[in-house]
Amino acid sequence: MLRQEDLEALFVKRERSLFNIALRWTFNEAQADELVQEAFLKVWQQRRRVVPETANAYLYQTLNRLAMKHARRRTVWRRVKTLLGSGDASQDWLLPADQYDRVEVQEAIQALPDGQRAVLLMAEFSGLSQKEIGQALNLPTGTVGSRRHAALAKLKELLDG
Amino acid sequence: MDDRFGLKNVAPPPGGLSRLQRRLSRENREPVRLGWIGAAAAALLAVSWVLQPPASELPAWARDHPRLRITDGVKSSLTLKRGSARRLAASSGVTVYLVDVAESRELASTAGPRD
Repeated sequence: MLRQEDLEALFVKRERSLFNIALRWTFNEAQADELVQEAFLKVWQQRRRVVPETANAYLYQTLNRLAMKHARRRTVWRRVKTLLGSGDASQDWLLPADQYDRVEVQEAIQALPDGQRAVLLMAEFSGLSQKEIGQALNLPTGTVGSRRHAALAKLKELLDG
Repeated sequence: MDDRFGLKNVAPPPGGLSRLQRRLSRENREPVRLGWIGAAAAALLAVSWVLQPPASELPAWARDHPRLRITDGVKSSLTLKRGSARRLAASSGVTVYLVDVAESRELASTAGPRD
């Protein structure tokens, strides 16, 4: 069972990494922060089934699930706004490039398939090994490697093109 | 961090741990937690309430279909759950046609029957 002090220690250690991953799904600082908080809360609600050794992987898994859900919902509503002509959906989600990633990088990340995006962001920001990323995303280690490779190739293509 | 693509390692907003601790305190004070069955029943009730359109907002045929396609009448269209389609049709303020996905027939929702 996970104790509160275990969870708080995990927060201190992992908040920044999780926040940076969430930021590349939401492109909104407040929403990214909220997703991180929500992920920790969900892990806490499952504390009786989580042991400290697996909490890390479960945490990343939870954040990814929440972030993908958020991204899918936002995509639908952007399409609705475009359809109804009630808003300009072009680049309205981007973060200011002087504080965050370059605009073309944000667009390229957003263009990646969800599976590749999840692996790439975890590889970039979590500091976890491919095996640990595989445990968190329920993927074989080999698939983690191939998805990361594919994501990097696609990013290079998008940014060089 | 691998910065080949210029990904910046951004600092999260300050005070995250305090906010989490407050949330955990609230969570720990919860005297009664819904079990899975209770939560599922509550979710079902909420979903059925959301998906049930008031009779005045959707034509009768729409009530038989869980998914409807909304179209601007020209070329753009989007398939949505019935409740979402109903809310959009009621609030958009523009002419939106509801399309019966199953039968591919178009019937008007917000601007009367389509010619």
